[in-house]
Amino acid sequence: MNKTIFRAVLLSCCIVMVFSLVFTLFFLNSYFTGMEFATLQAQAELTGEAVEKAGTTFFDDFDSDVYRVTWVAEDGTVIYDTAANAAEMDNHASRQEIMDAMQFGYGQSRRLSDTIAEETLYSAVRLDDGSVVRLSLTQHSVFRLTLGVIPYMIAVLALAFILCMFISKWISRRIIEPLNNLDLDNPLDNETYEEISPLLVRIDNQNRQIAKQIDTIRYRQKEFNAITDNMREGMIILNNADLIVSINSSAVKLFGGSQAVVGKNILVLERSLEFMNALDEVKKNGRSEYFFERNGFVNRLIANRIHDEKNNKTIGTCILIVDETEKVLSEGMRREFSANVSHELKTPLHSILAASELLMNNLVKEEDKSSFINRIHSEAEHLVTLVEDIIRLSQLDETKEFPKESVDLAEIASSVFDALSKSADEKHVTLKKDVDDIKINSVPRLVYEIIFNLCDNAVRYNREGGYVELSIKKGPDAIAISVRDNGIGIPAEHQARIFERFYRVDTSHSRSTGGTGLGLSIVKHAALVLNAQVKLTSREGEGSVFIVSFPLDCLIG
Amino acid sequence: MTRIKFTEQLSDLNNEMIQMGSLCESAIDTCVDALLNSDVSMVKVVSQREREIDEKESEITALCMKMLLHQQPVASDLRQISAALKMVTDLERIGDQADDIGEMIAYTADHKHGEYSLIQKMGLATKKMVRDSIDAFVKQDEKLACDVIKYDDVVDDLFISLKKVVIEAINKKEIDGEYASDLLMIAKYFERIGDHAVNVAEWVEYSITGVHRRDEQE
Repeated sequence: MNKTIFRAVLLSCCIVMVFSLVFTLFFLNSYFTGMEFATLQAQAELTGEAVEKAGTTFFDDFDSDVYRVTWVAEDGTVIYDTAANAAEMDNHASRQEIMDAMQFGYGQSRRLSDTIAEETLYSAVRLDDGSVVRLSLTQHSVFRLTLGVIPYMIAVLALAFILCMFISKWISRRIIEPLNNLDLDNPLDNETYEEISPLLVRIDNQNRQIAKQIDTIRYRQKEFNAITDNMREGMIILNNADLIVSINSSAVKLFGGSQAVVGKNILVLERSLEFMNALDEVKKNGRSEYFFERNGFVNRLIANRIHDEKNNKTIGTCILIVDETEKVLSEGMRREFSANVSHELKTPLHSILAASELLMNNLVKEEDKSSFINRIHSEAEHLVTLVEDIIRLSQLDETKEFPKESVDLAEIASSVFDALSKSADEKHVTLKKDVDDIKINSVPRLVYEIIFNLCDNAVRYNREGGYVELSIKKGPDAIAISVRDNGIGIPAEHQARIFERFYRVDTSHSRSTGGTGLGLSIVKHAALVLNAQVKLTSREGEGSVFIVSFPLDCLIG
Repeated sequence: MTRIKFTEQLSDLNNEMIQMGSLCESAIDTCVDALLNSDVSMVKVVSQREREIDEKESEITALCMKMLLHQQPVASDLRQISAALKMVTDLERIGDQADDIGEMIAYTADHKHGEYSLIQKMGLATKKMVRDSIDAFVKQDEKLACDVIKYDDVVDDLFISLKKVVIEAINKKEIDGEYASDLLMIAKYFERIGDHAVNVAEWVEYSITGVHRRDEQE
């Protein structure tokens, strides 16, 4: 705009300048020609009078380089001429100035000579005898004059042009300045040209509209962020060029970036080959999925193409990252469990099979037969215990609600001790109990399982001449069943895992102790069902204490 | 006037560079994994990666040339492109040397002595250097680039101590010559990979600051 105004002002200045110069030139030229004619006329009249008086003798004394005098007779023949031989000259009757002079007494005219650089002014007077005296004067033509003036004109023009340039620059700046200083944030506060006020009003309206829309968008964004940030799953939204449009805090934490990655390419955040392949696959097939491990967690990454149904085109990619650690772990545990079950079941069966085959083929000496039969019996017994334990565990797994009734803990303690007295005697382990008379509202079978399995383990993993002490006491905030022994104890590194199914401290799976590896698993599950806590303190070689605490609210009486 | 095509090409270049870096990382990771687990089956993956890295190198070089000729970049854009041209050479070398290591692991995997743990350490240190140098490029992190350059001393020291251990073992006739030379070669390759990672980090610095370490020291 500045430029346009500048150009317009400059152009108009130049045009005015050129016009005025040309006009002045022509005006001056015609003025001077008029003056010249007036002088010429006076001269011609004087010369006419002189010729009238003196006749041709006037010409004898005539001496002028400036004027040329021609005396023409009434019929147009030249009587005398100061510059040429009159006899050789044409008839002049048809010349404009002569014709005028003959008719009106005076005539004048101008003619360009052969070269256009010069022109000749003619002035003619009629004498009393009807002849005409003509005075002529040759001078530079307007064109010639103009040519002469051109250098000065150019100089003047150039000077004027420079001046014009400065002025028009200044003018255009003056015009533009208020426009440049417009405060577009508060368009209505401006005091400027009236002509642009409709524009300002419009801008003001649009400003308000935009502010309102931005507010709405911000609110939506906040809402969206609040939702996504509270997700445990990571979520990333990419546009078509794989630039990050949105990323929630879980994803930021997982990939170790910051919110500053928004707007950057996703590869800045994650550049593993698997990830790149997944991105490629999404573009091809619309969906892709893979597992990856990061910081000890197993994650599943699901990438989906975002499709705009209306315009039928892809607008980006949505990536979800789900923590599947637990699922993968539990899957692994389940696999391990079934492997363990089949192994545990197979071993005694093989033993039975081998012994019975030997017996069947009469390969056993008569005196050894009873020991083989004993082996078969004990292995079968073990198998039964194992299957019973597994059934119990799966019952605990499957059953959600157990019917509760009054349970006499002292009674259960006695029955457990009765059941264990034989094996305790065999191992020379003393059974001691310190049981208060407490009744609780619970599931008798599960309470029995808990106490039995804990005591059974305490006897089984004891040493020769050791003791097992069962105490059931009502504490200030719980009913505590504690089983203490001074047996072999549990090494610290195994303590966290002994409640797992088939987990044994002795990894050789030796059945020298006769356990199934499921006892503590049953304890843990039963305690879970009964809302009780199991706590273990143990030191290798010194013995262990298991404490099961029941909440006080299940107490009766 | 914004140059849309040029901006697009620049971001393409950046992505291609990240992809090439990731391929290098994968190659060296696989190598180090093979070394740690004495698992020779992974060696094939490394040579596959090496071929992919070569392909990427020529792609990136072509892209850079196209941009230099058609777009006539200046200032930081030119710096980014020239740094990329330099970096791809180093990345390509990293890929080659990872492939070489992969081939040699096949011969050394059966042995396990004290020196083997040293080479595993070297592998881990080099892996860290490569990962950090690419990270520095991706995040345009000048400090991380500087750390990579300093970390080269760790790899160099490991190389020297491994050399000593190997020489001692040869003197005591504990290991045979072929194994010893293979071990030294692997160590040297790791050391070279470390140097290339340093080069990459230096070019990252250059593309950020506009001054190359080498010029500064002169």
